[in-house]
Amino acid sequence: MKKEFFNKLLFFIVFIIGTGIYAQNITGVVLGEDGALPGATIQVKGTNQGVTSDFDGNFSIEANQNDTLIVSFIGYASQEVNVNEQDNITITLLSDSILDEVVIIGYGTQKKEELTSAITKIDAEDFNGGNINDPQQLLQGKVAGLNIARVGGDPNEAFDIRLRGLSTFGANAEPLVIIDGVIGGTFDSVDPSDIESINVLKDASAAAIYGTRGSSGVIIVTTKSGKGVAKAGLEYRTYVSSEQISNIIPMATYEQFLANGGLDLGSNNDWVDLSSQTAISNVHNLSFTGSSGNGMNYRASINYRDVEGVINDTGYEQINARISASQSLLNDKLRLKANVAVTSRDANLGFPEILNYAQIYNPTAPIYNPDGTFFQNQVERNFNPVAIAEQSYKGLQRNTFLSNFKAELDLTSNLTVAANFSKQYKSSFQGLYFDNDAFYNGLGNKGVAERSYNDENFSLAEITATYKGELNDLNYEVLGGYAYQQFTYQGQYSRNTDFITNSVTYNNLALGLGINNNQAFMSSFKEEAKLASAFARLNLNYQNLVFFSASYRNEESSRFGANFRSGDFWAASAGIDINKIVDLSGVDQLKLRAGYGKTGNEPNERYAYIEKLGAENALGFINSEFRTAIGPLSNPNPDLKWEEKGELNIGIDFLILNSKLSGTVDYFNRTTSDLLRLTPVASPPNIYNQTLLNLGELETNGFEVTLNYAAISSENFSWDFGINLSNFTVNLVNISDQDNFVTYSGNLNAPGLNYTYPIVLEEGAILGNIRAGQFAGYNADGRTLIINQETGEPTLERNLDRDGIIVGNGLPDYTFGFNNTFKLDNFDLNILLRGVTGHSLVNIPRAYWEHPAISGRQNFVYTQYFNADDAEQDAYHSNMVEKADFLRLDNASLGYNFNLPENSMISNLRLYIAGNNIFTITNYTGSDPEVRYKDVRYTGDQNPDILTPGIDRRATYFPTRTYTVGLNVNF
Amino acid sequence: MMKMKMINYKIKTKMREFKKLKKLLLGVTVVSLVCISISCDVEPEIYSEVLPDEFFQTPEQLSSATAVAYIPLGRHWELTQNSSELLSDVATVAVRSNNGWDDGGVWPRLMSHDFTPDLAFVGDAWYWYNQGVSTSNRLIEVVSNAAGPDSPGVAELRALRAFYFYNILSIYGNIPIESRFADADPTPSQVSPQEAFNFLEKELLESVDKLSESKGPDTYGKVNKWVGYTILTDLYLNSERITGVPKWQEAANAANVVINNGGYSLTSGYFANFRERNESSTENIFIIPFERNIFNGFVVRMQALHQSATGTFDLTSAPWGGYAFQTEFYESFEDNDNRKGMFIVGQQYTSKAGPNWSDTAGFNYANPSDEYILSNCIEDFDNYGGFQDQLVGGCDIFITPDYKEIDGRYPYRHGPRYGKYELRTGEDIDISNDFPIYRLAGVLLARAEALWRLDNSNAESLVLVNQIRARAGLDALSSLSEDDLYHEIKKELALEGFSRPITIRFGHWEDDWFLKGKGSQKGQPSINKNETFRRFHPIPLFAMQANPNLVQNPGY
Repeated sequence: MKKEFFNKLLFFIVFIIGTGIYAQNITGVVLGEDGALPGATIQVKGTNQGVTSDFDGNFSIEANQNDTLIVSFIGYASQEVNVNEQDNITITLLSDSILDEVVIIGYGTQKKEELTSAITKIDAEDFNGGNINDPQQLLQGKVAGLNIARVGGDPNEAFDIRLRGLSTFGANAEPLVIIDGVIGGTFDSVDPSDIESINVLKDASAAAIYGTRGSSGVIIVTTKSGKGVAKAGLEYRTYVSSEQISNIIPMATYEQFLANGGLDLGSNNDWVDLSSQTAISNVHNLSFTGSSGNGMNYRASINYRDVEGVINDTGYEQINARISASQSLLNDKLRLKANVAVTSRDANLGFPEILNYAQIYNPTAPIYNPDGTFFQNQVERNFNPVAIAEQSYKGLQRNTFLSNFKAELDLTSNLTVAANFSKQYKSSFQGLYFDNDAFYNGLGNKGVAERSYNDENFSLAEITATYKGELNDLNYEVLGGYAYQQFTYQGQYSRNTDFITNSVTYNNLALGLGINNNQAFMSSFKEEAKLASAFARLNLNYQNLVFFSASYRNEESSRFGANFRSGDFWAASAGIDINKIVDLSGVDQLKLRAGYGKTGNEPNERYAYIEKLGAENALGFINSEFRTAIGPLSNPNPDLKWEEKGELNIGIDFLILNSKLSGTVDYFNRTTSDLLRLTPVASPPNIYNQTLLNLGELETNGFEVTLNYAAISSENFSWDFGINLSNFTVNLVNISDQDNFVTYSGNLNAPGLNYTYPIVLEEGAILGNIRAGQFAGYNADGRTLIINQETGEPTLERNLDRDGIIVGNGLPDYTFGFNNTFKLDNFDLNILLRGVTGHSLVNIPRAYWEHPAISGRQNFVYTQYFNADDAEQDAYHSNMVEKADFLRLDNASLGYNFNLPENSMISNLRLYIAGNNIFTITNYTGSDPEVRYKDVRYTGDQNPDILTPGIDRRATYFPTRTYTVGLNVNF
Repeated sequence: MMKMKMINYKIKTKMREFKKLKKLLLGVTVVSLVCISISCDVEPEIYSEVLPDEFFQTPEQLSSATAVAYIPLGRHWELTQNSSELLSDVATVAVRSNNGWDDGGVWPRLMSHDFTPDLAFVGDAWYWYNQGVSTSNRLIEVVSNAAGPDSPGVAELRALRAFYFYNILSIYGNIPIESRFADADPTPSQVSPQEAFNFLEKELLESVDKLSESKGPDTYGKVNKWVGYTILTDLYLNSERITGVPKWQEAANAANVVINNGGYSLTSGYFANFRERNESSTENIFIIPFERNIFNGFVVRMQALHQSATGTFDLTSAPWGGYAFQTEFYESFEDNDNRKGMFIVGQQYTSKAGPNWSDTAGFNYANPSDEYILSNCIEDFDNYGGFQDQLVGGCDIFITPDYKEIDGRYPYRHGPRYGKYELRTGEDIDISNDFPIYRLAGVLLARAEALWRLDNSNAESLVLVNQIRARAGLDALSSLSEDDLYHEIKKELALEGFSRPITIRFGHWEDDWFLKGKGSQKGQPSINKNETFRRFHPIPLFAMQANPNLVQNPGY
């Protein structure tokens, strides 16, 4: 049994009702599968009275006849034993079984065995290791169907998360995050080292209890607490990591540059080297935890991260503190829990475009002119990357606060009511400054300073009641509840220009003269949204053979007009364990399950249903003076309503080969209707030619396979491997009220490729298709020939509308993770290979730069496709769209747990080394073959296009490789 | 017996369970009711946006709202270029030495009249002028409610809307006319060009005489009575082109109202109308009040200057360098034509040479001494194909009037650059010159053309043309041939957005010119798509996709 894979904190409770009334001294022995268990905890239920077993597993405790003993030991399922009339009890604990594992579902838990929907749980011990600074990284490659990608290694950039592809256009495409029961919590408030487990709710049957916002899946994060801790302890974890650029697109070397006629400016500089650094990051986590013995459990932690980016002087410093305390009162009938977390980050964001210019800046250019100023040339439109780094500043301060208070009361032995109140506050400040003599953005304005503030906060109040009961062989659980959530958003932005000194950067806007010359700008906003929900769920379990679950949630959202606020979401699912009917040898579980559910999505816009007026983007001219012009900001849609998604999920869970092989296979089919989308409308009558409408239908289907195999498990050596594989396809069933609707996106931009749109959004086709002209070689002058699709002849004309054919797709066919865990005595080795296949990327660096003809201005790309006779300055055709399949050794760690003397102060000491992105195997010639799930058109694009996947832009951050040495000590 | 007991027991248990369930549901209901009574409603507060009900209260608010109808004019300059000048034999966007201005073949296709519904720029005029229409529609209803349907404010908006509508009609021919906002047809169908014409004529005739006659600050940049009559003149002048029915006499008459009663006069220097501070021009009738950083959109400097002009005008970023005049157009000017000051050609100098504009001569250097010769060794100097060897002057920037294709591309220094609009030294991107949409010279020429169309030997027509020639420093003509008239209008109004209608009216739209049947593109002879249906653009794809009732124009 590969117990190390499974949860160690169990709430597996067997009710045996005792009748005895008098106290007695009970003795007993606790045994495991391999003999006596020393150090097991034996506690009298409902009291603070407890003992631990001795070296031979023996214990002695005072208890009444009607008392129940709770016996627990890490790695084993806890047991409750009725004392009755026994005075000597032998208790045999069983190792945690996969089937008894408890999974967190919305508003409760369920044994894995009972699940009827697609839920995956990942525990702390299975998280990715090494240099992990974001909670999302913990899961990368671990969960079938959950794709987590960040292009490049910018520590200040967030990860994109897609669960089962894309099932919405205009609403949120990322899964809903729930942190310790707080719906819509932000990952920013949790330090990865405080996370105990993450549950991923994939299908609608599971997510429907969250109604809205559950459409793109739900990720439930549970943080560590003091619960189940036998002995107070202090834990210190630290690591130091070293990170370097792992790959850039191949550029001409100094020699190749000159050999191909490059303009020689007399120096020899490696600009990437000059602009980047080996990033050293230090992380320290300190936590203490324990239980008071009078029903109180607590845990407090402080996490400090000093993270550097590979661009010079970038990175952040972050402190996160978290306190969680719980108290049980009234004989464990009232349980109170409080969680408070504070995170403060101070970041130097830097300018990822430095990497773009570092690649292409003339390698013979000097850094400085003889007079000490930076070497620059306006006509080149390329910027000295060292100058950008020295003359520009971009800082971020972000504070996140999350508090949560929860009370649970057992009214009867079957009925529990709970109330939960949470508040999350996230406040960020960003400052930006360009020197008044900086070529990059500064000079034209004689210096630019910007400050922006953004606040997001919400409060959540929730009341639930749960009734658990049994009817002969039928166990049932009924849940009902009500939730109310209020969100507030506000922000402010100001900009001034024309600074007489650069010494104050963005810290003193008043020094700028721009405000006197109409070159300053300011804006602010405040908005709010509200959501009220009533929900219910019924779970049935008949003899652990047949399982059924049904849920319902009604939501009212302020983002719709009065008549369209209410939405009903529901799901039903059932499962049957075939193994209980037909006795199959070697099979411990063979469960079939199926479910269907409907979830919803609300728009990102908060007031899209009403006509709002605001300042136009130009001033009005009244009586020969400029005055504020007030006009409509968008076309209102009073009929805006919920986007709805129906999802069918069919799955099999199995545990075979004497529990050595476990697996899950899921097939899903999602249909999103009344798609929220900015849709073209006629103008006139509309002011603007797009309105947020409910229009169209999207179908996503795919499958997921997860297998875990305990290949070898002997006393000294074990080898487990797991594989997960998934695929999805997004079909654009109907995206307009027109026939054969097609539109193109992803402008490749100036100079030379402006108005070139490679990504196709076509009704009836799949999402992410890439079009390009068919490359037909070069003519004698070195000019690129493309097949004219009307005549079939090669042409020098450029007409993508006529000659474009589908040459690839930006979204992957298959995503897989291959995980190996080896244990030899005190050593453990974990290796995760992650692969993605079937996606292509538009390699824009090549389209723009793989032409020796540009060497008069800048350096050029030099991949296997390089042609010295190429006379183009830029070219986009089928040759620039490359397959980007890759296999990456994402994560590997080797750890050693020291044997410590019995009386040591230290209870556990672990040393490890780890690597992230150790190697990548790919034929893609760009810097990073990672999937581009969205189009980040330029550095800092606040509104990346999720319908335009597959474009590798020029300003892409490079991928990095990290090596880490870490130490964990428990006292 | 045993079985019966079992069943009884089961039923009893079930009943008990249901009772408990009821209790639970009751609990939830109570909790929910409590919440509702505390105010868990979801009606949101609106903090930073203005609601229409709270606005349009004061006269200031009303005029602030009305001003919005003029904001789409900020795009007018760009549209004059991409929908008119580039499509004629006046201007061009050649693929430049670094392959800038190829843009996936968009510009070459545009200039060879290879219009398709989804070609870039083909839909821009539809988009922006229609935004002007929709905004006016809405405001006409607002102002009618506030000040009555016969108020001058409504008349002004109706005439302005007619200007927007006219531009759409002029370019696309078959257009929907939807003039309502609140009760509008969400997908209006097209009407015939004649019906559209009739609607616009009626709109203008009903509003012109309610418009203000003032030419003071209160109507500067606004539609006053004279602007109204000029729009009407333009509409009549193009009636035959659009509907097939000529309205020359009506055009001449409408022009006469402006000429005789408007009180405008030609400025003594042609370029006085295009200077940075041209507010006092006695000739400009309808202007767009561009003001750098306040009302942006006039970006001629960046579009049209060659890249190394940074040195001449002390710019901090390089101009984009696409737009330039065609050689034959440049050469069609007589040497002593003062208007030749609109071309930046020949040896270029740094800012020390004092680049400046004068009212009569346009662009010139105050002190063009050799020591200030502008030199740039990077512009046009990509290493391939030996551009260096083939450039006159090497690193020294000399702008040649003619274009020489080198390996399928044209150097940035080939082709006369736009010098018609004054460019202030030391300022980037936007310029503050007020752009004249209509000026008296255009109205005089409109009357001249209308009278000439009625009678090729009309004496007044000749007088009017000679009036324009005299200002340009040219000798008077003794007779007026069709070509005389055609070229005079074209030269006088170059870059002002009239090249397209003029070229079509005089039957030259299908001719060959540079990069359209003449000259080469990327080493291949350029194409001329010369079917007559191309006198109207196709209905843009985005409009067709938004409105299923639209029918594509014939030929496309």
